[in-house]
Amino acid sequence: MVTLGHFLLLSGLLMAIGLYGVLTRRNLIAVLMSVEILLNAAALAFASVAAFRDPSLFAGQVFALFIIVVAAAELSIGFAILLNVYRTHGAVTDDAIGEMRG
Amino acid sequence: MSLTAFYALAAFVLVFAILAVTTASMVRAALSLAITFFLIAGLYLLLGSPALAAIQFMVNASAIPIMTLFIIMMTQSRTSAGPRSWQIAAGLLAAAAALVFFKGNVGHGDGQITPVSPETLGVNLLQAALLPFEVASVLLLLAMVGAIVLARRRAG
Amino acid sequence: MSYVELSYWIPLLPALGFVLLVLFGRSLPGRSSGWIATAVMAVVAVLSLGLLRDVILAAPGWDLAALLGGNHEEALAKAGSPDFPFRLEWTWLAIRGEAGIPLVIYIDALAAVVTAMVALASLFIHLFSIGYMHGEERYPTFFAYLQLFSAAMLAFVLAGNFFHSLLAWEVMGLMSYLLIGFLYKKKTAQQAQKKAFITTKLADLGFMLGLFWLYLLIGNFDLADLASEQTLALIGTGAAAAVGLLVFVAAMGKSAQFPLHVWLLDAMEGPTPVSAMIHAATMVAAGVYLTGRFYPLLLHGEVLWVVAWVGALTALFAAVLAPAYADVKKILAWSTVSQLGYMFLGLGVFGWAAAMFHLLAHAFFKALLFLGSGSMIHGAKTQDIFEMDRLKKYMPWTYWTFLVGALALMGIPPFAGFWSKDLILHAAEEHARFLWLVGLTAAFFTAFYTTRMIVIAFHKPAMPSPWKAAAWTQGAPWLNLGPNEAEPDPSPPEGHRPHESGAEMIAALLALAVLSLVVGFWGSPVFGYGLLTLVYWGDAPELLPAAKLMAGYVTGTLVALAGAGLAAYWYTADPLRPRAPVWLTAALQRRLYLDEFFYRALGALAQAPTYALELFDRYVVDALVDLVGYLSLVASSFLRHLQSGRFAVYALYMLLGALALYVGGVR
Repeated sequence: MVTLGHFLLLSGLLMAIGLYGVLTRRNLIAVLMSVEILLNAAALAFASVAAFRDPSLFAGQVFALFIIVVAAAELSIGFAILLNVYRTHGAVTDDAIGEMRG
Repeated sequence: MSLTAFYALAAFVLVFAILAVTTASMVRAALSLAITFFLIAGLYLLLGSPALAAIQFMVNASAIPIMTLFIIMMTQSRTSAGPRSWQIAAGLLAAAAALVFFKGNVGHGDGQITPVSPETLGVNLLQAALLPFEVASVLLLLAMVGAIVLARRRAG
Repeated sequence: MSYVELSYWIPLLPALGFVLLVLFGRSLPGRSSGWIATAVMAVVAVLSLGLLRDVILAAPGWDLAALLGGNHEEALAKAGSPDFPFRLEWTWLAIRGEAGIPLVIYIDALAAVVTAMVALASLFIHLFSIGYMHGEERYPTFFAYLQLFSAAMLAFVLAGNFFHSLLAWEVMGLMSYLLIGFLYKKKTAQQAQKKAFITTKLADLGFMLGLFWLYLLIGNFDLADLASEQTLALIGTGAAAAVGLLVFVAAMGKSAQFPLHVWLLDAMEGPTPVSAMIHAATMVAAGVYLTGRFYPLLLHGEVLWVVAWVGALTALFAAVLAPAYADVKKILAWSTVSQLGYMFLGLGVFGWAAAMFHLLAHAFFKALLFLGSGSMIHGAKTQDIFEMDRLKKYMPWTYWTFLVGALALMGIPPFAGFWSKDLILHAAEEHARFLWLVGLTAAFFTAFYTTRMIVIAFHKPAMPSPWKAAAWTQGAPWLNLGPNEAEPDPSPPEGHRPHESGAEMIAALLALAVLSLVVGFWGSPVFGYGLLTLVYWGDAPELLPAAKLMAGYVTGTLVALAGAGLAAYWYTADPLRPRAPVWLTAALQRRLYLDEFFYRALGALAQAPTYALELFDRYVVDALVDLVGYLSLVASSFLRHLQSGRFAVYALYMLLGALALYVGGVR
């Protein structure tokens, strides 16, 4: 029998993988992809809690939907910024934008 | 049956997610990500929410990987350099920390999945959540305009 | 409706004229702004003459024979009207129904006479300016300033409340500043206006302190109240002396008395009508008027001798310096300082009415002289008397009117100055014999420099001015100007023929000449001391039968004739005589180095504390600032390593922050 705990554990693992990716990736596009994983983990958690616990079957689902929306918006802006980084620095790695340091 | 399906899906989700954050080839990473999201759409079906599954499939499993591939090509990012050792350590630490966050929730074993039809979701979305829905549409519009303005090649 | 009830229009009309000219003056064509201002002053003059008539009808009459006999108790021949002195009062600055400082117009005989004097002098100076200022840039502005000045002066004279006197006094100071610097493109004018403003402002501090102290003592600012016995009884002798002297300091500043006279000579940078109006006839007389109003207090405080000494010394000092000058306006400026000194001398030796008489007479004849000099400058295109070419021939009207003013100044009978000055000298002879001698000496020099001026300017042909070439005229250290910054006054163009001035200007000169004669006779014993008995106040020892004054008259006339004769003898023969040693001329030209002394001494005095403050600033304030900077430098040298520039590190910080919150209990 599948339980809520299964889904939440999976969500947590995905979250851990996403965090690992954010911290280890050096290509900025890959970093944004990792962020996508993080957001999907969160959406999955919302959707599963909604399916198991929410009698109105509504709020969690809507939240998951909005997370997808926000992820799409974030990604499009992020990519546009990366495009500019590429134009000015010739690469989209963390070294390229590492000049703002104390 | 559903437990088997869950385990199968979850295993592949994890494998491809790990692949997506570790492989050196950017194109491979993007494809792994697409597969991960596609599998998550399957998980949504398991959760009895075909509407979410469809949206996940269309947006996260299709549109976003395609956009990612475009940006990979436009920035000529073939590979991602390997992580520095301190980054690996930090990443593992962070992953462990995330698991600590979720640790307390794993035990909730009971409960029944209640399926929700796309119709119910849609009606709710346009009644109780009308305002957030509209705000989300404005957000998307802003993101679109912003992305166009940011990515536009400046004169001179 | 009597003129008394209309009296508030007297200061109000020119103030409205000022507003009108400031707002619309630039769009008025040609000379019309000048004519409008003159018309306003004409109305004011009519109102003030009407007021004077009302006052003469209402004032108490005196039996002259009893007064002359010294029998003051029985001298009252006709009781004054019950509402005299007139008093108009409005509520002002009312706080919960209690008038804090009531707005009072107080019209006694002195106020009415001086109001009429100011209005008339101002009227003729306005008239004169129409022609004199023609072609000047900012022509309407000039008349706007004159209007506001007239308003302030009239308000000052009519104010029944010292607080309002102070307000009007300050407006006058402002207008003096603006008008001295009217030709603001000249550096000397800029410096002169600053000098005048700072000097008089410094002195005004005395007025304010005196007034506040007075308020603490008697609880009001009322002018009439101050003269009453009950009020004076409230004030101790010491306090009365202190308050009186404080106010007297302000009067010294305004009336250019030694050692605060330094600004008046430089004030001649203003256009000539300004000099006539403000720095000869009206504003400088305000100091005398104010001292006259505080006379009861000074008497009570027993410090009149200070006033007398300051006045006498100034009278002599200025009269001695005047012959060393070639600029006609500067000679007249010294003469003004000297004559104001006479007025203070008169006040100081109990000759209150004589001093007020001299104030009025001087206002008219000095305005006449200044306007005459303006006419000379206008015609001859120079201010230097040596460069003026036989003006008697070319400018007869100016010459004869100027002569009337000059004879009045010298004190030759029967002109105005003779009657008033001799009354002052007589009072001095009675009460302070040494000061009487000082006054007589000053009278000698007065006649001397006046005759010198007339002979050289009007009778002698033009010659290269000896002063312009001389080394001591280079630069003006007392104005903080280097040798190249002080522009010499322009010489007339080659072959310039002097010409008589226009009709308005001549009309103004004639009117003032007649007025100065009239005022002189009005106050003279020949016509029964009409003016003096009108303004009569308290003890009046100077009122003596003409026979008793005869010795004084003869002495005064002889002294004046001696001075005039010596000057005429020397300068008719050779305008450059007497050839004084260079050091003496230089010293006189440099005003006995007083201005330089003040400039340097006050400068050093002002700088001394700044040195201390500078050290404090450098070693305390700056050190603290440096310490703060150093501390943040040290802190940042550690903290800056947090800012690695690697986003992964920032993400880690975020995570650690979240962990800290989790561990800390925020869930």
